[in-house]
Amino acid sequence: MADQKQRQIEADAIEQAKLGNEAAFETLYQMHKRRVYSLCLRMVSNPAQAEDLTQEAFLQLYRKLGTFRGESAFSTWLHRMTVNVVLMQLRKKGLPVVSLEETLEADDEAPRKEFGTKDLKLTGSIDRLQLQRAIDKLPPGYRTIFVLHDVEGYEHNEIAEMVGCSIGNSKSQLHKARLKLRDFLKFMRAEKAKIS
Amino acid sequence: MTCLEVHEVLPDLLDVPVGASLPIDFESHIKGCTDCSGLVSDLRSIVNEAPQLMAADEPSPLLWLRIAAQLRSEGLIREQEAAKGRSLYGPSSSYAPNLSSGPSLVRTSPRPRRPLPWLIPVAAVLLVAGTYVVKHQAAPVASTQKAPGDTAPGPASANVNTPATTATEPTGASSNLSASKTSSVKKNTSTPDASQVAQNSPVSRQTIESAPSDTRSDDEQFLSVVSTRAPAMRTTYEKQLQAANADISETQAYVDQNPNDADARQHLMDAYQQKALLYQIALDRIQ
Repeated sequence: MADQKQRQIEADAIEQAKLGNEAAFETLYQMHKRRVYSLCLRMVSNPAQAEDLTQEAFLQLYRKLGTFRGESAFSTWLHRMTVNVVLMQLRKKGLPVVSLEETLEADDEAPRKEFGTKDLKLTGSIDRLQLQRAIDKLPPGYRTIFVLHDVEGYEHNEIAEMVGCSIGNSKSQLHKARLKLRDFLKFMRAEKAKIS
Repeated sequence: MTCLEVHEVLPDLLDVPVGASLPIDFESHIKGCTDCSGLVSDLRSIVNEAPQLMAADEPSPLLWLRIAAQLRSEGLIREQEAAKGRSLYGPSSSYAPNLSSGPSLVRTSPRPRRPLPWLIPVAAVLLVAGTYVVKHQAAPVASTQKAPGDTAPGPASANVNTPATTATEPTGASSNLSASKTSSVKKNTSTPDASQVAQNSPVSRQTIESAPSDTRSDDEQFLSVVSTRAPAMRTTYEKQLQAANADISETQAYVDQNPNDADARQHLMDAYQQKALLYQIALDRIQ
């Protein structure tokens, strides 16, 4: 019931905002600001930059709102627009949207690094803050794929289209990103254990 | 299945929903291999925890003001449209009301826009008034009531004050200060003539032009008061002040180059209002 009411508020706000109503646009902003900002923050790992990107995403939203026909959910449409804003920014800054490591290392190299070494398991549940810190440490290319797939829930075919890589490439990078995260988390746990 | 084979199929199997059946040889290997079972378990934990990060953060409350100002400066939103009402979803934040949709800043008739230069000194006066309150927090209310005679400005000051006071509902001493300030400015709300405002306003053009350097020390004093009274809030206010100052400087530079750009002036006014609000809100909160 509450969801239905929210959807109605959103639908009304979209129609009003298309007519140039600032208050309606603010409504849309209030409803979606967290998700848009969080997405930007995860992808660039810099709060100030994430705010700039959030601003840009909502400006684009306003400019393109007239083209929204309701064929997909508004949140999906806005989300996709935000991802494109962030990817465009990464490209402008010359940061690899697809990790350069992918082209430099053999496809099966990273997983093999695990063999032959005593592999300590991450004990206990993963702390959310630690996971965020580990994500921040990922190279931009890995981070993009990981955030889009594991945090935001995009499928590999969607990521491949957005990022401009093959589906196989997206899968491979996601796996490497997860392995790297595991290494970072283990390292952070070990450091924490040393201190305490 | 060997460890190598497990690693090869793992990327696909990790995305299989929990409870779905996995290849038998994969499962039997995992049961007998501590390294592989540890790896699978860790990666599953990461995959399961990652969605919890979605929408966990909130942008600065000033961000909406920046977006609205940008939309206005691009001419995408017009003031008469803002007059249609406040957000359907509620105010933009608990302590940063959307001034653009305030009752008196917005014209209800669709006449053409024109520069509102008299709003700028008024906002500057608010900054001065805010600083005054910081410096004279211990002063009795009566003396405060005299001082804003300085703040006399007219309708705009009332416009700027009203949203802040209603949004934050100050208590105790701050309530008295805000109430006295609000009432003092409301007395003057019937004369919106710009030249008259300019005559009455104690803030000369020179004062405004030198404001950035003058307010730097005010900012320092303000932050020092915040540090003393609410140390935990200092970083937040410091960041917001920096953002507000950067916006003012950037917009001022643009206005200097384009003095006849009404939208740029409006943006500058917004920037000053943001800063004035920040002062007022902080003062209300820390008292």
